[in-house]
Amino acid sequence: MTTFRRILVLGVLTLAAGLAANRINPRGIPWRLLFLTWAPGPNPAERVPAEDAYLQMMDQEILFIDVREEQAFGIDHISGATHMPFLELLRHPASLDSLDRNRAYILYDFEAESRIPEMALNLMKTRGFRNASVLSEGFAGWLERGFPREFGEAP
Amino acid sequence: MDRKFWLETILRWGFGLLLIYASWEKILNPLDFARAVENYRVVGYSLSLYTAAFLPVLEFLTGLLLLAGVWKDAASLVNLCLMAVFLILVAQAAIRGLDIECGCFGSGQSQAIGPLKLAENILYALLALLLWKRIEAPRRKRRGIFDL
Repeated sequence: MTTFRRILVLGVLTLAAGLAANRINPRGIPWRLLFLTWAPGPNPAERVPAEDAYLQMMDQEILFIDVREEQAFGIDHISGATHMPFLELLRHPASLDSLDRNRAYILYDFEAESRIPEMALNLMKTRGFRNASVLSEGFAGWLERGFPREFGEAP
Repeated sequence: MDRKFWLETILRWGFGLLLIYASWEKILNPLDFARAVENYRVVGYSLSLYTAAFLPVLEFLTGLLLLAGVWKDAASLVNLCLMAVFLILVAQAAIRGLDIECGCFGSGQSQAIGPLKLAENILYALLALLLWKRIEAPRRKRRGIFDL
């Protein structure tokens, strides 16, 4: 076998072993995430500016979903937000079934540029949530505007 | 057993052990490695995830092949490519003045990017080139052409 063919075989083995390793490893990258990264981002209508989100929050029309990790959420988060870490959502998408599909949701990460809420939004769409959107400015923008937050665990 | 044989064997085993050691932590904690890759600001979020999912496995398999002395030609060429890519990544980060951790051996053993890290990577790349030439030269002589 030529060097080139051997490298090809090594590449195929790498793909197979990489997928298997991430499947077996509880801290591995979920396969779903690898596919979700290529899904298109939300359309402009699915991006809610912080001011609009705040008004909807005051009218109790929406529920915030914080997709950050446990530690970040534990420090502070938007008042009344539900905690659903993105990686946990990927591993157990059925946990979304505990939410009311007729309600409106706004997902957020810390930074406005983060793609994680977009991917979580795509995941929610695949599970039948039609009224979910992403906080345009992220939690950082929310804090800059002085909108309400709470510390520690969610009630 | 001549000197050339021992030089090749030592380099092969050295890189084999190095690659397996470097890949292990990354295979166990791929998401931490993905963050380290993203910090280099060369690839975006998606590619950093793919890199973290597959690159450590490629390192591990290449390391195994080098240790076992199987498919030495392919393994030494992949090893050379890996070392060249790592060198380029570290060099561009140093030139751009990025204040980041290397992530070379996973998140457990963070090393800052600096002149020492750059020198280390240059050394690895040169040794990888030497190993590849040691393995490839007799094959080329025998075949008359490079069979890539």
